[in-house]
Amino acid sequence: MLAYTPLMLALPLAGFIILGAGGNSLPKWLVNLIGCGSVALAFILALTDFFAYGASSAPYDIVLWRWVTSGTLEIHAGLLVDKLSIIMTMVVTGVGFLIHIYSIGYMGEDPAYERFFAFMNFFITAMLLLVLADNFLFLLIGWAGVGLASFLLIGFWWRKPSAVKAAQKAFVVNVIGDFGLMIAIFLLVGKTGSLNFTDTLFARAGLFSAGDQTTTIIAFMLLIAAAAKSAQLPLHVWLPDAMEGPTPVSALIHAATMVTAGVYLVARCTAIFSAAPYALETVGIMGGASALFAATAALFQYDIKRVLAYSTMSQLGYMFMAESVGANSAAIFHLTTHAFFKALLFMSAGAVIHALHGEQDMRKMGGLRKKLPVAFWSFLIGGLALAGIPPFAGFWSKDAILGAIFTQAGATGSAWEYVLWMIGVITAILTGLYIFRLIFVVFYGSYRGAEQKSSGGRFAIHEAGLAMTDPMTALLALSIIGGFDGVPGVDTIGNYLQSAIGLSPAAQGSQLVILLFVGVLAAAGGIFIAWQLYLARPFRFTPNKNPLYQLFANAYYIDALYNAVIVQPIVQLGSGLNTLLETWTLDGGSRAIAGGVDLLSRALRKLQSGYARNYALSIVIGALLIVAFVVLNH
Amino acid sequence: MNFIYTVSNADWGHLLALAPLVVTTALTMLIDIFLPAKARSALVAVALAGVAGSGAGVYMLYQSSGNVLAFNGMITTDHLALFGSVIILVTTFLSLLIAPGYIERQGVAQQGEYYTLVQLAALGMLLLTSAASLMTIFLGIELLSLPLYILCAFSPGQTKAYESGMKYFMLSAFASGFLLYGMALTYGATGTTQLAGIQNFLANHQFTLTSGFGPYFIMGMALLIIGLSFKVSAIPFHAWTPDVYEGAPTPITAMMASGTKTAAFVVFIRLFTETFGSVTAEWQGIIWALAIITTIGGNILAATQTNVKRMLAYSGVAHAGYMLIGVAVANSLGTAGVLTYLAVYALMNTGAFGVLSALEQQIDTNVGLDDLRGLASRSPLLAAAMAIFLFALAGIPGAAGFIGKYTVFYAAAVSGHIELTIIGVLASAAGFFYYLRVIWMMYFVPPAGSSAESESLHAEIISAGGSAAAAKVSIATAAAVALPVGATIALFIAAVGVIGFGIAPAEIIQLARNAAGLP
Amino acid sequence: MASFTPLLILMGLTLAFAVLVTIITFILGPKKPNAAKLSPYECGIEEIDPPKQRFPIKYLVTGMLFIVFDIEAASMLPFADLMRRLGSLGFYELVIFIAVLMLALVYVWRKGAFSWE
Repeated sequence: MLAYTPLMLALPLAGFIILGAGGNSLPKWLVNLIGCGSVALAFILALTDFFAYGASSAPYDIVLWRWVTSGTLEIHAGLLVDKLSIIMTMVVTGVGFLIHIYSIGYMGEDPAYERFFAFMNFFITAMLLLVLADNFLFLLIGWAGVGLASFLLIGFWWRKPSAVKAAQKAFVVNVIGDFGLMIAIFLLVGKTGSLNFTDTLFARAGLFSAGDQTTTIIAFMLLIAAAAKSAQLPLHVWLPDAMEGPTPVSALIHAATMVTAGVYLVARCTAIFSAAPYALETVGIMGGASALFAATAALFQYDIKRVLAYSTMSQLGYMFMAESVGANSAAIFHLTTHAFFKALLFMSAGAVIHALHGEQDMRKMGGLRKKLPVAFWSFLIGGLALAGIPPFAGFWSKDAILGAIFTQAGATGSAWEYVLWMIGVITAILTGLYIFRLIFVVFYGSYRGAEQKSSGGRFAIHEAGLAMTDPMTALLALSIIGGFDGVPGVDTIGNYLQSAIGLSPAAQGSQLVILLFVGVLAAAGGIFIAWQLYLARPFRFTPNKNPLYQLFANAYYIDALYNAVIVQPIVQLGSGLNTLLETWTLDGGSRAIAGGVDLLSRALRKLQSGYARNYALSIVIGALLIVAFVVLNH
Repeated sequence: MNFIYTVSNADWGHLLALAPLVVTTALTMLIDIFLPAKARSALVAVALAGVAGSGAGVYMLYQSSGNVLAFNGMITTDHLALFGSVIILVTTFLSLLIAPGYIERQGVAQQGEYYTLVQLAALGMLLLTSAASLMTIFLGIELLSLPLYILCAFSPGQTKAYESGMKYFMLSAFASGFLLYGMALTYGATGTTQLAGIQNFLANHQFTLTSGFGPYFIMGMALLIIGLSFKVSAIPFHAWTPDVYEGAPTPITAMMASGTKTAAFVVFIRLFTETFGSVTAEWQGIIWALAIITTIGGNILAATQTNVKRMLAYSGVAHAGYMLIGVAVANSLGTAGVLTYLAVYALMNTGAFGVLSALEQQIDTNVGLDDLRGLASRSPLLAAAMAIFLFALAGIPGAAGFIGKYTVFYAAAVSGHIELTIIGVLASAAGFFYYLRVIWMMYFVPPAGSSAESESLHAEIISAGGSAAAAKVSIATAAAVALPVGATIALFIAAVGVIGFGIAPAEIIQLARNAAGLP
Repeated sequence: MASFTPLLILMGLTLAFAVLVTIITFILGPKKPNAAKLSPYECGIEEIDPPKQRFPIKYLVTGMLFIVFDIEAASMLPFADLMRRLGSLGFYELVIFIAVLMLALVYVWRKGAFSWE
């Protein structure tokens, strides 16, 4: 059955091609069928892979065709099925499928409906390619494809200038990541002579050693790539803006695809990271800093999706923290549960936004519990799962991570890892706080927005259709039960992944009980603070001048900083260069003269006739430089 | 001196690739003067047949074995020459397919001369790829340059066209001076014009490079680099490129951009990587520096353009930089990389210029970024083709251009020039943006004048893209683009080739490796 | 370093000559500029028509004809000297060569080279 894996890629790809090429001439039901059906079939294939692979531990390599040859190095268009990629494909296609269904309802009235589904299918294809590729070069294609798809989808509503900017930003950061990955690839090929995972990561892993500088550089380049895709500091800036795209896109980016790519890459390249000194520590610093940073930034956002965006970044920080202590399976476990509840949260946020006709500002919501029961319950369950309240999915996975960090800290006695654990606990408190602030503000209290009348004069806030609520219900169930495969002590998923990415350290006995207790306490504490601040007393949004509040609300002004330090200088340089090189030096006044402007002096006319002479001059200068180099060199 | 070389029958066989084009060139001239004007459509058919015939000749030479040198070491038909010839023939073929509709539109009356000159230029390029002696190299360069001077200025009544032809002529003549001087010094130092002879001389006469004739030889190499760098438009010898590309008829631009580049790079490889291979240290540094400057500078200059043709011209400079990386690593692996790059570049670049030529038929003037607004809704297929070519040129992983970059950067990485790899990757990552800006214009910005709101959005994009050009709006852009049959076929071939090379490049890489003498 | 001296002297002389000539003309030449002279392709006379148009160049055609016959003669002479050693192959080569030249002749003829007006 594993031999059918290529179909998993081919089906969404076919969907993309059909919908992209001739989608606008197809009836809507057929667009739905192709768009969602292809992903559904891909999910079924992922499931069959899961059962067909079973308990095996040998990676199953599928060679599609000879792709690039360089002497002894043959790189195939090939897919690698092992337990890691199986879990990833199931998440990508499963959650991806539910989001596709949801999009039928959410995007129903969009004029570019079929194009949306075409891009979504492309996104799924690229992500599947990323997780299934059996070599770095093929992975790079998926990697770049995911970046491209996110660019297209974030900018899907291109009439909104903010969406265009967000798309550009996402693309710029992604290209930085691509750059890191490419450098890593060329360094790898120089070092190991191969790019196939089976060679570089499994068979020849011994080539990576702690004293080797190249290994370190490779690891850091991979880390740049992972940070860019997974929105970790300092390459996170695109993620909060990325919610300018339609909500299903946000759900897809934040839950099933895209941001998980970095976590996957680090898990996949464990062999390199664990050999390189400082690399894993850096992963931990980055993850911890991002977790704390994003959790505080999420505290005072007004935009409902922006809260969730920072929350994603924060949760991804957890995953990287786990990976830094070698708890890869805990990270992947959290990745799956996070996919469930974050998709759920985004969908219910979408349901709220949909019901309020595009309103995303929490200051204009409130009291929606009665009007939107499905959205409310989804948000509540999703929020409990995110905060880490048992028995919901997020509790088990977050606990697995915190337990792993604490155990590892105990084993190595490293103070630094205790700090990491502390950061994890503090972030857990903040998580409970920000998500329940959102829930209380949006669903409790009284409605603060403008009255919305439909044509019938009835209050127009209404629950979304079945296409939207059905996938929400499914994810609701998954958010409740999705964590039971990682119950401490049993840890089904951890044991399953052991052959692919190793076993995570896990707390035992009384320590485990204490840690579980601390985790619950942290989450409950956060929720309690939220209750105190936003529900127990009457609450109103008022401008707050507190510098710390401003710092958090503006996400530490990093965007402004980047804009001032990097973006503006480049823009200035670009237009300056343009003026300098094109209009001024080379073109001279000639174009102006051609335009018939005759107030130009004789001097400018001389410049015009000296136009080609300037070119010749640059040749002469170049020639002189070369001649001088030759003479001086001997 | 009593020297007589009697041409043998075997020598003639080596002209198989050139002969068909010679015949059809003559035929084209005859048709032009004897047949009535109505029969003009026969001209392009004859030219195409000539290119196809030459292609068949290349194939026969590829099949044959034995001595590759002919005419007393003036010409070679080794795999390097044949690989280059195929690229040139494909480019010429596509350019010829695009031409009829375009020159009709431009009001060119002298169609016979146009096709004659195109074939002569192609002959020059072919001769250059098979040149095995300094004399043939110069002959080839002149044979390809002279027709191109005229062709650049071919669009009647356009100032830009005259400017283009004139500039190309003046600067090219200037650069030829360097080349010729370099050849003279090389000949003086080694006593032979045959490349094989020079190679032997370097191998057998360990003459000190710092005394006697050594300095002459080194200076000769430097001057040869200058002359050839002009032809491949490496910075700082690139300044002519945008102006000449802009003013020349677009099919000619397409042919010049990849054909001339291919021929010049084959000579680069033959002269430096092969002939001067034993004195690598003497020239590698220069090309290394040129590669870096060209790679970075080309991308920066391209990013500031609002005219698409100029943007592609500067992007051609950047691509020349990537290819120079392959020359700078100075080994067969680099050669294979350059050849692979040239092959994919020929398709994607000719394709992109082909789309531009189709657009110019409609707009009359050169295509600005604004003229592409909303192309996807007006002409979805044309826009899709352009998107494919631009993605390939950008080198998005998975597209054909990435294969070219990969092979070159791979060669640099494993040959111990990781710095070139890093600079190349960095530059090409930065290069994504200007290609993507065009795609964005085609797909996400509505055609001019569709709504006021889109105007402001457009201004937003322009400013975000870093160029503050005033929005020049052409009224004609609202209509769909009519695509002549020839151009349709050409674009189809190029698009299929680009996609095919992106998906399954193993064969082309293998052929390039064989041409470079690798297993 | 020293071994480059002859080359550098040569290059320096070339450069110096070019610069010198330019400077001398600049200093010695009378300067009475007017609009016509300052135009890019000046000949010192006010233009009658816009210069950007095609115009017949009879002289060039005559020149082309001259080249056709000149090259023919120039390459036939050495052939005559070497005829026996080159054999029949050489003969055919020359025939082909002359055929190509004939083509050029026919071409310029049909293009109107022999009808002056």
